[in-house]
Amino acid sequence: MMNIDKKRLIIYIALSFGLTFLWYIITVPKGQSWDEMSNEMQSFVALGMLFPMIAHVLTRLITKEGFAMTGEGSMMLGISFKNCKWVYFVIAILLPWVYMEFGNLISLLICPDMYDAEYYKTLEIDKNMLLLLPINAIISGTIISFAAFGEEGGWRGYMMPKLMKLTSRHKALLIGGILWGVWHAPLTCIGHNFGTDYVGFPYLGIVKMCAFCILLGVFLTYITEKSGSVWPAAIMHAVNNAQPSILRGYINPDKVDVALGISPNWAGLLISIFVVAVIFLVIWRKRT
Amino acid sequence: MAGLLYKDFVAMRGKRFVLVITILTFVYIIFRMLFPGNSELEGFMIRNEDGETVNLIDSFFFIGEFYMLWFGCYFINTWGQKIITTDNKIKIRSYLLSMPFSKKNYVASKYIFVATFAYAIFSIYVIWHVVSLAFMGDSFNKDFSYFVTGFSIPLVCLTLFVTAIEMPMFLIWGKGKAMMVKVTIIMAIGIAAIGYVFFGNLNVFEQLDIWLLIKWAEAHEIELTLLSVLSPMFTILFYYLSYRIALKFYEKKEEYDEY
Repeated sequence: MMNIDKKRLIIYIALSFGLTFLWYIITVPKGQSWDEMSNEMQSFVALGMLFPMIAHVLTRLITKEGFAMTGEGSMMLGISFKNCKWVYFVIAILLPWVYMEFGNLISLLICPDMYDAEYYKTLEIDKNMLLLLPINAIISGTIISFAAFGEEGGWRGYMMPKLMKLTSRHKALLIGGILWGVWHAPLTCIGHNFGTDYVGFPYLGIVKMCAFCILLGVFLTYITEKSGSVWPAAIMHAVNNAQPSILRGYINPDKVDVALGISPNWAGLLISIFVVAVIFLVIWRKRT
Repeated sequence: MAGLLYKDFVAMRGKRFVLVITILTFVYIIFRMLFPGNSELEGFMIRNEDGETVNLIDSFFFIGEFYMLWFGCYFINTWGQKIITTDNKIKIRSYLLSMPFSKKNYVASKYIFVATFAYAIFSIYVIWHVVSLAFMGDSFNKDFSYFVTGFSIPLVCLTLFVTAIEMPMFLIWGKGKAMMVKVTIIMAIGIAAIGYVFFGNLNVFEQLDIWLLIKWAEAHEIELTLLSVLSPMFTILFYYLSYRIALKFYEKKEEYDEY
């Protein structure tokens, strides 16, 4: 007989993927790539981020698992600052800024040709605004974190605890990251994140997204487990999506050729996140 | 703590509220997708005073989004009062404090409830805004929608700020006295406004044009961004200060229920 957690996990994954893919089928204008859509339409399509959380709630309804807010097997919606748990909120707010600047620095070291002193002008950002960008990204990311909460409420709030129960931590992080990466596939196929003009499109893009999700999943899962809440992960995800970086305004990705679908700025970010993920894995191992 | 929050949620008929908002949001999304404003539908296009063609469907959905923000702020403020006054009305406070909750838990639950509610309301507003804008034609409505959004964070912060002033009053003084103070302040503002109408310079309002405001907002992007960044930080600080003050005085208070 199949394990009850496995059953619940399968239901969750089916609902999460099914509902999100259906949303993209309905909302993505036929034949249009991500870059061809208006910014407003992109935001509308991105509301698909809410479906993992909706799938979480539906799974609990279907499987009669209950809706406990805190504790083991709960929805992990509670917030506690006791026992230094506030540290995870500080990490969630600041870490994306750190690894993004670090990543951009690596990109510039790999490929100094990408430096463009006036690139921020093409991003329609004022020079003074550029300095405010990280703070603005952090504040607005935290306030408008509901979309990221939609994802994290599902992945970190339901899928990862179930996977951790069913298998070892490392396997869970690997499987969870791959599932999360594949869930992004419809968007990757229309050019979100990597565009459409690269060798191996869209398969290489999906693989890259899986790698990115596995690495990002390490510290998102860590702070969720240690804080006992999905909120730090939601905030971190939202701040990450808001791209808090000053150096971003000085890196022109169009100045270099993309090799094997990996641009230097993506390589820099990937290396940076890899380093952070390894640090978190070591800390996790020591503290367990 | 979760129990206290759930009690307030039930007392405010939260389930019904969530159901109504969810249905309204779904209806809004479906209707917006069925009636996009970027197609020029016959009978829905009018010309405004500047000779610009305006799609009435866009205007209708923009008003919906605007009311969502407006009523949302209204509910944040009224619920902030209601969760306290309802406890007085049903005389539950003494009972609650006889359970394993401290006064600190009780006061904190009120503040957390209002902050959570404000976050939820703002999130729903953003969803409505995103849905409305996605299908909006390039017209005055779009500029105005962006203009309103620029002020949405400061507006919610202002609501929380006012609520943070009111909550300690309702907690410490009870409904009667707190309402008296609130009405006195509102009346003083009202009288000052009437006084201005009679004796102040009204030319400022005659020259008021929404286009000028939009242009001003576009020209002062940095200042507005600063306002959006600083207002939440200031509000969080003030909100916490309000909580500490309310707690300090409430802990000294011995009569829990107003009989």
